[in-house]
Amino acid sequence: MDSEDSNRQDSKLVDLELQHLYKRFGNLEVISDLSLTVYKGELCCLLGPSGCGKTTALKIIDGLLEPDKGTVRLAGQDITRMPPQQRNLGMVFQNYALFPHMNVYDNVAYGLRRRRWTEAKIKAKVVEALHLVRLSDYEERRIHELSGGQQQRIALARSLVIEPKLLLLDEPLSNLDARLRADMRDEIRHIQRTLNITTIYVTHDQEEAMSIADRIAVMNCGLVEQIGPPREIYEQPATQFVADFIGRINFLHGRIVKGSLLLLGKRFPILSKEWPEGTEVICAIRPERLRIQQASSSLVHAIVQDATYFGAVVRYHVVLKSGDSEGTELNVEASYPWAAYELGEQVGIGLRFEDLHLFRYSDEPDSD
Amino acid sequence: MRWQKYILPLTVLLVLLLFVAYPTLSVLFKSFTHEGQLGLDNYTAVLAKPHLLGTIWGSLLVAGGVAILSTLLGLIIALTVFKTTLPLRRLFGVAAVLPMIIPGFVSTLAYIFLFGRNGLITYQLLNLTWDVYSWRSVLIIQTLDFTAIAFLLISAVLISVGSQIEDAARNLGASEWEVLKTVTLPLIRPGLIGALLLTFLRSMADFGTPLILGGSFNTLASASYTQLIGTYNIEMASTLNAILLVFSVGAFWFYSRAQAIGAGVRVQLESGKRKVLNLRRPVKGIMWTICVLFSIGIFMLLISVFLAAFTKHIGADFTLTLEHFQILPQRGWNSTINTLFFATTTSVIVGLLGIIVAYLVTRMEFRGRRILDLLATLPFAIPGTFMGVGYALAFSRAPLVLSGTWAILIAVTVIRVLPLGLRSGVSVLTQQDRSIEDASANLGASRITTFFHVVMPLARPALLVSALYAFVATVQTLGAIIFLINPSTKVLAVDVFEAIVKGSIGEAAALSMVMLLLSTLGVLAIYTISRREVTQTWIRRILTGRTAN
Repeated sequence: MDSEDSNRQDSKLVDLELQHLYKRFGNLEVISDLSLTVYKGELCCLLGPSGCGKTTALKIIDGLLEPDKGTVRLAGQDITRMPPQQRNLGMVFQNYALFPHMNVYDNVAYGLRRRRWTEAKIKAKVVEALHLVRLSDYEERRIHELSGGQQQRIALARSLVIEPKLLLLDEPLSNLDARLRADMRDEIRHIQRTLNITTIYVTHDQEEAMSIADRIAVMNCGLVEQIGPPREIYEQPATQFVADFIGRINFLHGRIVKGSLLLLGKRFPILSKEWPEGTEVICAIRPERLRIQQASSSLVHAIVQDATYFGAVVRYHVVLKSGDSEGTELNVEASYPWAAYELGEQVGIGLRFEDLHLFRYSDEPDSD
Repeated sequence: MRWQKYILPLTVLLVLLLFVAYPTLSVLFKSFTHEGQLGLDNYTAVLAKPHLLGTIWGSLLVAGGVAILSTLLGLIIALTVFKTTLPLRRLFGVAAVLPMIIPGFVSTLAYIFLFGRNGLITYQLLNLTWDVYSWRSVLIIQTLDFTAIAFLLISAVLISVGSQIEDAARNLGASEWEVLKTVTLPLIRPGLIGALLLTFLRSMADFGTPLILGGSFNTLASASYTQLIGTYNIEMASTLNAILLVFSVGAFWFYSRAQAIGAGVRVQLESGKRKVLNLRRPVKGIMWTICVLFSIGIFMLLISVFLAAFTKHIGADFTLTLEHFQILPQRGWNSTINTLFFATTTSVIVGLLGIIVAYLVTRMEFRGRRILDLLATLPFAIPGTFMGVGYALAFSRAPLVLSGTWAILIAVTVIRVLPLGLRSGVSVLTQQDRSIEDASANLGASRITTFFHVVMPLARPALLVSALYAFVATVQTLGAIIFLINPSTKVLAVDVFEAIVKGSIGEAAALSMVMLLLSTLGVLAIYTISRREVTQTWIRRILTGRTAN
């Protein structure tokens, strides 16, 4: 899948460019063909299931790993073979990798000392960095005396103090509890915007990615399936994998008959010529785009099997009753104001053609 | 019901009081007695005699030198093995741990073959005449021997340093050398301090090497042997051992402190991910050369024992022969059987007692728990000769006469190896989820049933490894039993030692072969039973006698 982006970003400066990266460990191909363009000042999330190669990609950017093929360009310069020491990139590791034998001050000062700064300049810079992460009075603390959130912020300060060209974050929130995670996420976003620093943010948590990213690159099996703003990723998934991985979605089987899509016993006229006669189609639709109503003749009939109350929405699990799609299970989300349906009650399910995402049946060998 | 739960702790406490506290106090008491009078006479006698004062200084200086040199060597080899991709690095690792299975006095023997008056290298090759019998030789041999301890301790810490933390330093602009200097080395400092103190401790306690190689140079341990065996002066032997004990316990105390402080600086474990340090060529070159020289030294020692065992007269007549092995059917066979019996019994008892004491220490609440822990751990710091003199004093008179029996040999060896069994037991039990035992109790099992059906099976791998370690240690043990042996309880270690003292080099070498074989079988068994990585951890725990983490 081509990941080169639309014309929309042309006005922006290209900061980081990954071109056709390839990396294997022994027989395991971790990155198959990864290309990605990141623009100056944006926060780009690498999102994907575990094992999709996102952390490997991050390590290649940082120089901790060398790709077998492909190039890494930073502001136009080829840095593929440059050792990490010379790249001047800030990285926050998943377990923070703070030096346990140093206090907070020495941890943050570490990178500046490697750059042979004078102690006076280091002092000023460290104070500034600690102020930025709101841990000004913690200079003398030992690392094991800090809470998880504080360690996280020190790791952030340590990586920012060297004024890096890029900020790389490897699942930075995965070791925090849910409440802290939301706070830290906002804080990282705030600091990133304040400094206007180009940031690559690796995560497997789609909610985290949706809420923090300017653009999300959805990765699977070592390549980028789709890249775009969160809204675009959610509303116009480019592949079945993206549709499935981001948010909840229902998959239905349809087929093209006489220029129309035949789905759930209904016909939807198709104008596009890209769907020839007889094509099997996977139709994806978000639960909140399905309508649940009193059963009527114009709607597909279904039985309510389960209902889960979430406050703002109710999620119904229904089983279709009509015709050749009998037995198909669907998730439907109804938001306020809703009518309550009982378990076992017969209901009608309505859908609109414009809410469907169509994928070719054979496109996805690993479809469910 | 209430009093019953005290039976086991009380029994164990009594056993430890009898076999640890009683002999220890006997030695101390003896050192304060002169011709039936209580007082400091023995100590003032030591202070008055310049050569005895010199012995104290000599012991400390040599032990200090051995500690520094073997820690440095251990560090360099560990870095080469685990942090570089240099050729032969696995071989260096093998060379570093080989001395574990070579009993100390066997390498001493080999050293004499190579560097003695008729030595292969000094006389035959270089035609030098130098006095091999001096403190220098003691320093060299002990350094070669104890580098194994330093290497194992340091590697264990080194491999637990995660690659992420080193990557963080690289990312912040540190060069490879700076990564080593500012991150890796500071993080393994607890291991380095541990290695320094333990090698110091072992060097102080070793009596065979200085006795055979020291010539006029004496250490506290070897002097105490001469006092007891040479002049039957048990008071002076006790006094020298008491002084030795002060230094040993001091080193052990510092060691425990260092471990406790080190525990504050937690290194996160990242299994399987280790990255090499890409140091500059000259640095790697120096490290590699040192490793090669060290390995040559170790393999030369080993080969020369083989040569001595299988040739007519090493250095003079290299005709292959099995003549020296004729001792086997005569005296050697008996000693081999004795050694096997001795080592097997000891290892079984150490394994079981270790887990029982560990269970008491970690799982039961009773007064005196800490005393129990201390009594079972302290023998780790008590030098072998001290224990030997203590047992000779304590169990040759009423109320309990054991001298000349197997019981006394087994008791002293069990007590000396118990700290290792205890530590491995404690670390298993503290890591083990207690809720498993709670579940067993919840399902109606009594404490004893839970112990045998839940605790023991789960602790079995650790138990087995510490038992096997006890086996190897028992085969090699000498200092503690040399005063307690009688003709019916002869073991191989004592035979070899006596053969060396007598000058029957070929015989000594042949008997050493059998010891080597037994030790090797034990070590191989350890390796096959548990996975390599696990074993390394156990060996470290066992070596360090480290409290659970």
